[in-house]
Amino acid sequence: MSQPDPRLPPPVLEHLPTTYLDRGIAVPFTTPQLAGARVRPAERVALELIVPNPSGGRGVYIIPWEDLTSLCRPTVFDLRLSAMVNAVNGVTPATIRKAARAIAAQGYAGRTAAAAARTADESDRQAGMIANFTLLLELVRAVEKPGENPVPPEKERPAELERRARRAVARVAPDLGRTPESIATALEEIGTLFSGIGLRAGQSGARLQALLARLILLRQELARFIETNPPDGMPEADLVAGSLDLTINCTRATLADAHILSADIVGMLKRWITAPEEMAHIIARADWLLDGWERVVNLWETADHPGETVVTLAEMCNLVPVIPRELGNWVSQHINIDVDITRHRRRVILLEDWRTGRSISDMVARNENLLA
Amino acid sequence: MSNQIRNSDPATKPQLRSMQRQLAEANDPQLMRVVAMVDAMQDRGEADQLIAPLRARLSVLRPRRPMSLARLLFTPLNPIIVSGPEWRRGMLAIPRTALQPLADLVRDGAARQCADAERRVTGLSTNHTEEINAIGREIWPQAAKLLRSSSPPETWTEATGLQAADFSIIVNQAAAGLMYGDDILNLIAQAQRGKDPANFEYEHLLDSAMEAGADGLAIVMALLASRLPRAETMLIAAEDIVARQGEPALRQAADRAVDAMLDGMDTKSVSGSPLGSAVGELRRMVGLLEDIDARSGQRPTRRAKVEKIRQQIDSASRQKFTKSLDIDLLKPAEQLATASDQEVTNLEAAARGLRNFEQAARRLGGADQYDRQLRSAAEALRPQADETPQTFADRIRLIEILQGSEAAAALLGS
Repeated sequence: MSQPDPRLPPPVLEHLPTTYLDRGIAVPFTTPQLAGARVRPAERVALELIVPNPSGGRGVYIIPWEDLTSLCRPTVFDLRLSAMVNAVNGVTPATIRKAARAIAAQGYAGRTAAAAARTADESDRQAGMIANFTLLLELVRAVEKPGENPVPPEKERPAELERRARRAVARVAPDLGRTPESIATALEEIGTLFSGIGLRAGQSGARLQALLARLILLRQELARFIETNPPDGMPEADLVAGSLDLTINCTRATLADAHILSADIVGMLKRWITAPEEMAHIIARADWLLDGWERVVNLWETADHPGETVVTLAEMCNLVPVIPRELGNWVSQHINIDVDITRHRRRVILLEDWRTGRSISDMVARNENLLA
Repeated sequence: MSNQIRNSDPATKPQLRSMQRQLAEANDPQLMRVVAMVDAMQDRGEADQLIAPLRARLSVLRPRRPMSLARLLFTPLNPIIVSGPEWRRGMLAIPRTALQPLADLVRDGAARQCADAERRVTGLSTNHTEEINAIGREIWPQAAKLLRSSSPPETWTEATGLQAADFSIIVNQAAAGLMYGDDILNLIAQAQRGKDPANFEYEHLLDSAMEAGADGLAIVMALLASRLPRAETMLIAAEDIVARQGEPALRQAADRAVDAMLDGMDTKSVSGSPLGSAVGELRRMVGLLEDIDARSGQRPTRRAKVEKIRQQIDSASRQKFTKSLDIDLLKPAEQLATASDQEVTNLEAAARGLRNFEQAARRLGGADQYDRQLRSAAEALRPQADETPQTFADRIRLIEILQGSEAAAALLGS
């Protein structure tokens, strides 16, 4: 096979991923030409970069991760993020998020983004602690005999609760064939896994439940926009709304699957001991499903004025994540997605006004604000 | 301030001029606050004169101003409204002093519609563009017809400082702008959304405008050019129409419109405004100059005029850039190590403004000068020994904004 001419851009390819890993993980680059870029593991090179066709038309560029600079002049933030992603052990939404926050916290996307990254890290840490604490309460409730303690664990004094929790861990450990220390560690690990989604529905402090709520609001606002029968932006709004419908429904279903696990604390611990990867995968599904949507909703929420709506919708349209067929395996017991999945596997409507007239530095600044 | 500027005692004139000078130096938020204060006055008196010299800047800033019937009626004409003393016969312009008498004529002729419109705009501001246009499009054509058929009011000269003969000139121009106001605003809005209207859309509008005579064509062209991001398609459409009609009066009208576009390019909107608000106007003027130049191949006189204005704006831009680079960026950046988050954000905004400005300005010339100054500024901002990682990152970002990511990334390894 002849070598590609390095002077030419890479060929534009159709991108119809089968799995979420094949789709790649959204990387929050700030260089405008890299909007919607994703990273995925590859066979012949360590990582691949997937970039939507910058014309707004169908297809993507797929190139080795190291060739990032062949497409554009990335910002310093993107160069550093790219280097960090290259060193990541296993690309997932969580590892990419961690890398992006680490670089943002250094100040290379501006001080506002740095503060936001630190706040987000702290929120996740607190959410993990709350999840861990809640799991301990559940364990106490599950393990103590009826009437053993008249004070419900959530109303217990901290010192006494700690004693009851240690006792509960010690009681359950032999049944699970583990030491109390390993059970305590397992609870911490499970708490960390649940920090993003919360242990049950309606926990608005959990990051992904908060994102889901914003997506639902976006869907409602798009419906209102479509109802006005606008002269421009209707097909774009329709496409984003349709994809949102499927994403919202499927995310709810995957969250429900994860929350069912947490309803039986002892059963969950057993499962964690015997099949930790399978359980982690179930809990992480919502993160994979919503990967890439935060930027879309941020664009909508930060649009400066109503006149920008149409341009923003076109940009959002280009960033709507492709839905892989793997979704069917995840949620087919809840939702028949066969019709919708085909509809949303196309990329976008031809983006006629992809040149918004905004300067590159303004676009970078706007993209940095999306990190904040 | 409000008591000072309301007093029309001639003894306060020097004070007024002094305040005008201060206001010219004010930043955008300060200016917006003063405008809001003037708008809130029951009796504006000479307060209007305070902001009169800043109208070019205000047209860029577009501060939120409370709507009134007169503002609603003349919304389509905003770009060509000039102060009374500035107005001359032959200009494609409406003197501000004529607005209230013309509004009164419309109110006399359409009392019920005006009362209804006035009620609907109550509480709206000039930023409620869609609502204003929706209300306005119901009344602008009727207002145009009323004005065309009206006679000068008895108080015309006293109220406006204009002669009776000026009335018909002004009314004809205003009526043409109002009759096609909705179409003009729609095409401009479409272009501003990034969808340049097609040649036939301009031709359709300009063809219609000729029903109001040559002046109609000229005024509609002038109104379009005042806001369009690029004017070449519109200029081509006008040329095609003029060539088809073959009437010398129409050719002269089109020439008048282009001359008005050129005459309307005021270097003060570059030199007299803070950088952030000057960028948009500079971009528009540069684009318009390029478009007019592109359509002036066989017109040496016009090309010479374009070249003269280009040089004037180029010169003003270079001076503005040099001054702003120093005042807005380099001087405050000397305190970068102790700067607050907000101060760093302001510095980055200034750097971005400078970059946007020079990118527009270098189309007029001076690329070498801008490159040299940007290099020199980047050198001054270079990371220094023993600074915190945060200050280091702040400096890298400022250099990145000014010189690009390659220059900034090169410093990361040094």
